[in-house]
Amino acid sequence: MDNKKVMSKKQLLKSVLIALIIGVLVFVGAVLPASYGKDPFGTGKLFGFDKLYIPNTNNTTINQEHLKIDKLGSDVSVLKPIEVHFPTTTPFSKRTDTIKIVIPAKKGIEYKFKVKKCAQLKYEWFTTNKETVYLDFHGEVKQENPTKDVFYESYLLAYSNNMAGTFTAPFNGKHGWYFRNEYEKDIHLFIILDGEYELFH
Amino acid sequence: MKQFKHIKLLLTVLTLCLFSITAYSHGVDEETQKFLLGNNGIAFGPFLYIGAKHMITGYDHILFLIGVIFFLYKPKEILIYVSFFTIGHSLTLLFGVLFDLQINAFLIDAIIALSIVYKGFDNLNGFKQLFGKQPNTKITVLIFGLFHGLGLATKIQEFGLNEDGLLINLLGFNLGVEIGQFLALGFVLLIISFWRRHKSFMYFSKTTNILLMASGFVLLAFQLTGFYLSKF
Repeated sequence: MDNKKVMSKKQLLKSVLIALIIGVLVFVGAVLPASYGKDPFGTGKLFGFDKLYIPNTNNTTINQEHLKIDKLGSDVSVLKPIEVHFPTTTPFSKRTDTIKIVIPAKKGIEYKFKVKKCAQLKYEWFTTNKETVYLDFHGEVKQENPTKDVFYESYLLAYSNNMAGTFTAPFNGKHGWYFRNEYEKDIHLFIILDGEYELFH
Repeated sequence: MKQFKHIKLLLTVLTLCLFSITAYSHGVDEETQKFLLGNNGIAFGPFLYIGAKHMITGYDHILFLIGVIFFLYKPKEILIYVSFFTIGHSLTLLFGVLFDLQINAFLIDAIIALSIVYKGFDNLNGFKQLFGKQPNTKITVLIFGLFHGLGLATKIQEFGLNEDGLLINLLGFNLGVEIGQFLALGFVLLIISFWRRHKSFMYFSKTTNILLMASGFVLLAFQLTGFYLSKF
């Protein structure tokens, strides 16, 4: 049973064109000013759509949760591996690197490096446009037989756009940051490391 | 026939109830988001709610469904098509989250916008007229359902879920999505059933589907702009 009204090819193409035109008009006339703050034909100002636009400046506050002690590190059920107490070994040679990472919009990524127990290093990182990220500076213990739930220690939880510090590793393992981008736009972030560590590639 | 009337009434009441709850709880929703950001572990209830809310306020999903059922008259047909859609989006929602697929939300939403354009065009008999071929509508609903599911997956991934209790939370979200779909669809069916009794239905069906395509184009432009601005 075909209830659809039968239109000629010409009428059909005309319909699609009309739809396209309506779409473009609505988008450029209303959506663009209201959501993106761009008003090419002044319709935003005319109808007041531009008042709906909230500029996404670098000072836009993201939702910053109050960071608590309980949030630090892995869950209490994950036991501290014995490797935490392994004695110090020769650290990796001194080196320095500048690394650039991109944190996609609304996503979180990790960047890690390898250290030996008691290794020392200095670090600096910053976001290129001063965007604030959530971060968890943490370390995972290098285990002989890694468990499914990896034990990790959070040294620092914060919201920031720039940090610098020194670090002495309490145990062998992967150390580094989890960065989370709450903005609608990708964030470019630089990390500078200087000390006794090794990169993953 | 009488049973159908009662079901319609029940659906109306249920839908109105949920809409009023949603209206009151905008504040609750922000708190829910805060809760989720700090949440570790099982939170079936909140995810159920969020799933339902996403579907009911997910106008791109709703518009597609409106297009799908626009010319479906038999309840059995409606059930079949909606089931195909449900299977499609459930599969990719679960798959996408469990396998942590990293898909750009803007691009996926752009495809969803295209699904709306497609359906409006199809309702105008566009494919037969212009290309001589009619794509199997059940299969296209299933395939677009897969994309809708990926869109849902990106939304839930934005909450930064942790491993703890992921499966249960995800199932809660999926169930919520189905509940939301059921309610939204019920509401749509109600309106469209009343409208179909009028002469104006067939008269305005062409215009409505043109507007459906237009809304798809608006959403497409919106998503592509968002994508461009997020990268450059």
